[in-house]
Amino acid sequence: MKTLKKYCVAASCFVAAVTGPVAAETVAITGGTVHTLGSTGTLQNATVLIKDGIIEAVGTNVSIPADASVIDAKGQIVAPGFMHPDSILGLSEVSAVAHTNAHNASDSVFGAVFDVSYGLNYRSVVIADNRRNGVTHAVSNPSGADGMFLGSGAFISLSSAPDMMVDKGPMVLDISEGGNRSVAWARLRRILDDVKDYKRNRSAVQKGKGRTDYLLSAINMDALIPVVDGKQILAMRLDGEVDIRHALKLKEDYDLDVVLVGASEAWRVADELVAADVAVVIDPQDNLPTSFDVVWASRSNAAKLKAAGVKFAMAPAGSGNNHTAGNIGQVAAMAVAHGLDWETAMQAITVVPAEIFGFKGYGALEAGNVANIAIWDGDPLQVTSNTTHVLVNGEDKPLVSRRTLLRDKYLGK
Amino acid sequence: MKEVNVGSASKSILRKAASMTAAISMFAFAVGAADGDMSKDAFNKDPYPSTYEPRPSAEYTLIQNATVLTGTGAQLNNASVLIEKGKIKAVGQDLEAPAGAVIIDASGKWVTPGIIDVHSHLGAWGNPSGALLYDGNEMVRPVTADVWVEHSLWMQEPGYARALEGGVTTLQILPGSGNLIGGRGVTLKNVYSTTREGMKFPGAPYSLKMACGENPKRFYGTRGGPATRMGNQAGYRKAWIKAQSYRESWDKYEADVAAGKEDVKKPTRDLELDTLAGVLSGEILVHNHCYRADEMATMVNMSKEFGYKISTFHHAVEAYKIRDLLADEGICSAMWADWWGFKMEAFDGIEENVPMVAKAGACAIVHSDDDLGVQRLNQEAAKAWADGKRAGIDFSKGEAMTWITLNAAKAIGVADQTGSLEEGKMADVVIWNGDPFNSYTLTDKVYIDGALMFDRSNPGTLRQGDFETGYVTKGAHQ
Repeated sequence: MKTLKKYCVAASCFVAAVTGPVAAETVAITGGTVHTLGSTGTLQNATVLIKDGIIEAVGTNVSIPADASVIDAKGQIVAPGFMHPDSILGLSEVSAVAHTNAHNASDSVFGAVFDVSYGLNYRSVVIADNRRNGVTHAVSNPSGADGMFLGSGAFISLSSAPDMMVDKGPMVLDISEGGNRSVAWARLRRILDDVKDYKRNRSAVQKGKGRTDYLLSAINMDALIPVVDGKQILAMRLDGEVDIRHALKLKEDYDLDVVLVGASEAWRVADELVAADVAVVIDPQDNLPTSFDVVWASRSNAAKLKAAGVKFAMAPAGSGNNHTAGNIGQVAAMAVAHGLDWETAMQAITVVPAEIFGFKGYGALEAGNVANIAIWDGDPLQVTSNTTHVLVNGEDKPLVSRRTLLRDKYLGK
Repeated sequence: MKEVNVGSASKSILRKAASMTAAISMFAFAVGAADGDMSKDAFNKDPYPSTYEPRPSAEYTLIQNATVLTGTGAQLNNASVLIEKGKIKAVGQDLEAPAGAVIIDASGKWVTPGIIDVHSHLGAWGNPSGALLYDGNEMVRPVTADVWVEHSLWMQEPGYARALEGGVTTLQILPGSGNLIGGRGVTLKNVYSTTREGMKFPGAPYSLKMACGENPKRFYGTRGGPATRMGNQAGYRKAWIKAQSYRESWDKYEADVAAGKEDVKKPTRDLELDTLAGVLSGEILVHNHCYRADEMATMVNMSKEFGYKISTFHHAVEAYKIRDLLADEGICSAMWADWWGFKMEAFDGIEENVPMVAKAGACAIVHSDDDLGVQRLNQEAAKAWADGKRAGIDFSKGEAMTWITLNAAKAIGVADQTGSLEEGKMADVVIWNGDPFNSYTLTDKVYIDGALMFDRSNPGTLRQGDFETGYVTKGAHQ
């Protein structure tokens, strides 16, 4: 056995770590308190064995191969890496510097057909910095496009490698881009009807012999066929109870696969969400009446959703969707402070986001899952805790970013 | 203005817009130093005086068995805080309860001074969001030293009560940072009032909001300028030159009157120059939104060029690069624990900024500039404290608490009245249900001038702004 050493304190190591090939190897994380967040629960003094980037075994009686690299996690917390379910990670370096942003297709012909995958920048310093704070994978989503359909997001790994995109993400819709509530919901239904009609008559339409009064262009309707077929999740951005009820009815009428994002007032319709089997992504910080439609935002949203049996993920919205995405633990702690149990809070920022967006093989520390793992010097939800190791695809990444390098430079290190 | 992530993918557009505007904001506050004494001043410098009155409180309140962070840097274990008639009477171990005292057993709990946010826009950018409540940025010309943010405040802003539940007892409300010189800021006691004057912190100096960098040049670049940072600089300097001349004319007038000269012509008052001259005479404190080290250093030079003092650089994300200069000049830095990257001038923000500045002996403050962040400044301070430790910069929790209490009070000129648990100061006190550096900790009780303003166990103390009335039940936000 050899012991992995943290030798990357200088810029050169950082560069090497970012660009170096991923070696096939076996890694054992030993001695830690392992929160699997899965059916195995929490294990003391346990081992997580990783082979070629995949978790091979988790337990208190795992034999460690002779060639394994060992990370000693004694006295530390081992948990799945955080997953941000609604970020722009990899799509923006500096928000106000336009050419560093690739999450928005406003003022273009791209609506539903917009897809952020070309925009992903695996060299982003924002990715490296958030990984240091425990975020290992994310859904990166469009923020705007031509109309209420913003396009498709991407499921990414924070590997800083060219192949960071793991899978296509959800189709994102922002109801507030559709006009006032009467207009928006009528428009949305009309578009879905159009897409169904277009799908049936696509060949004729393509030949110029079909209807010409569709609300969207053919390229944008093509992108929505997987949505009306129930094969691509529709992530609907909305907050208020009235809109949530409309969304649930829409799902029923059109047989869509829907996740609600925002959902500040979800707790007001918790039973209906359970009945409709619809999951939500919430920001536990929300507690202000930010508009006339969102007056019931509450810090106990999460605890009440849990009590009712609603499946939910949590993440910071606003600027927490990129540069400070690592604050996902802090906002989860807010839900705990307002009545949510710790295990559910941890699951809502690790296991559940992968589950509700259909990304199999990510989440709990269980054999067969991708080894995206963070090791902490304390409770991962405490703002005072820091990571000691972060593994992405089983690779122990240096805890170095442009920000830590700036720090060290000005500390004279 | 409030700084916001331009790239926000979710949440309401309204909130985004609000934050962006706010990031730009700046303001200055009028000072109660002017007491309206016409015999002393040539005109009334306090025409909208504070009408704040402390709320009723027990004659004596004794908080016992607590872990006390005094705000002066100390931590006292198993200690007591005695409040007498709204003022701190004593802090220490083995304090005797005076007859009739209300005794609070704070076993297992922590006590700190009331939290102070030196950078807030609550009431100036309102909830619910919308242009009709966006009153934080008078972006009609680059220098609007004539506006006073107190005249924008919406007293029904629900964020005040949320901040109170987060332990915030004093707020400096600033105008936005869209202008080079954005106007006066005002300091408030965080109590419910139907009038603006009813929240004004008695005797607090006014402040002047100035802004460096991107915000003014971005907005005015297509509106006649300034379009560049050098244009920004020229804009400030021209304003100070006018202010110097204005101040000299008033000084001469007052000297002539004092000398008993006949037929002395009174200068014509100029509202904008009143405020700038107030800075030059030291009555009004400069709060300068400024991110970059090079720009902050230039602002220091300008302050010497025209003979004024900068109280605080706000959003000082590069303060760590010039921390020795800031220590030498005695200028405070108000910083976020971890915001960075939302614009070019914020790109070099690091997590150790606050502790690095503090370690250099400079005045370090954690501020919010945000209606959510203001509700958890204790966590933001905790974050900066822990990030410092990780980098080998060790502070005690007691020392870190000064970043959101006494240092903040110094920056806004009220340190003789609040910001620490010291005898004679206003009894602005928070009892936390645990260690405020623990992310699961919430406030238990919040006192302002000794009056119990929020008690988590007593829904009767919940405050609901008029806007929320009729929409939601009281306390639903918790």
